[in-house]
Amino acid sequence: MEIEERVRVKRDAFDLCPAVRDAVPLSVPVVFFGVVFGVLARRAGLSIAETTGMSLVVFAGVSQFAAVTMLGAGASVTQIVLATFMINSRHLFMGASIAPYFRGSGLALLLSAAGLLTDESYALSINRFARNHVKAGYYFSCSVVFYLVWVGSTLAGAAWVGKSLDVTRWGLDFAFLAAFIGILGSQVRSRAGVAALVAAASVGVAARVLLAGQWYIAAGVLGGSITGWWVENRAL
Amino acid sequence: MRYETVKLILGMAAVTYLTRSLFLVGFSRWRLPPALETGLKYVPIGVLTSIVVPGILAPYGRLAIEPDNPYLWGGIAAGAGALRGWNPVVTMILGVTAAALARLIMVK
Repeated sequence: MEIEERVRVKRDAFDLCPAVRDAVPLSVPVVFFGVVFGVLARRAGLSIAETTGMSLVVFAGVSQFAAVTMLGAGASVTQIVLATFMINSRHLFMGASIAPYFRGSGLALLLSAAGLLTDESYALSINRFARNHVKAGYYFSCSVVFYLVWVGSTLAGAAWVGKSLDVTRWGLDFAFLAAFIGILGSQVRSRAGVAALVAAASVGVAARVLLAGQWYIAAGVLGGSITGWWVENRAL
Repeated sequence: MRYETVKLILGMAAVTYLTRSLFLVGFSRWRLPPALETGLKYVPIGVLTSIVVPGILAPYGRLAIEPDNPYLWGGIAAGAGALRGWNPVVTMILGVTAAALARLIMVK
């Protein structure tokens, strides 16, 4: 009886093992994207230190892909930072949806949890928390795994594969667009989502052809989110 | 490290941290107006789509819906994978392979 109780408490105290166990399979694509990002960043003219530094400090893969692609196309810092904000605005919703589980936590814990919020750690944690295993330690453990894997594989891609790889020949210049298509496939789940996609595609292409610079992204986002909002409200 | 790159990295980090912390910290206390919440829900789809579709159909700023655009073939392959609900990584490999093959055939 006493032993049983001790085992249970001990198991509950950390949640490190389940976090690492769950994080390992999800780390495989992170390694792949990290290496490809490292290669593309080098091709866009960043040094090994700059490439790794970006992963260390920004830690947001999709926007980093967009940034080096835009950098290669000659976009300005302001345009890239704006695009980063738009791409990462999805964190707002993930933050909003996971926030109730952090209710009552101190500000320091909340602010450090925010720094580690990613698609992967969000997906794992929200799934586990919903099954009544609410442990901040689980969230932090799997987040740290993803952080180390992301930074490590970026460094590997930048330093080891680096500029020697002919990305165009292997179709890797298409890698991040293809990755986005894959993510889109898992995000578009409703009629309103499809409507948002169609609207963003039409407005985006029209603006790309008609306007100068990178403003087509903002135009497409606006068209897509207004349409999504409109269709969802009409369906209710 | 160049000053311009440091500025870029710090700017990206700042706006990213803002998106991560704002609602995570704030939503333990307040709620957004529902209309804004609904609209914001479609921002990620809007962002990804408006990077992907123009990037494929008009990679250099003019429409290129023609067979010698390798991105078009990559997009068709990846799009088919995404429609079938395949894993994003598999979808990505499919798209990259198709783009590489299209380019290979074009060169010959």
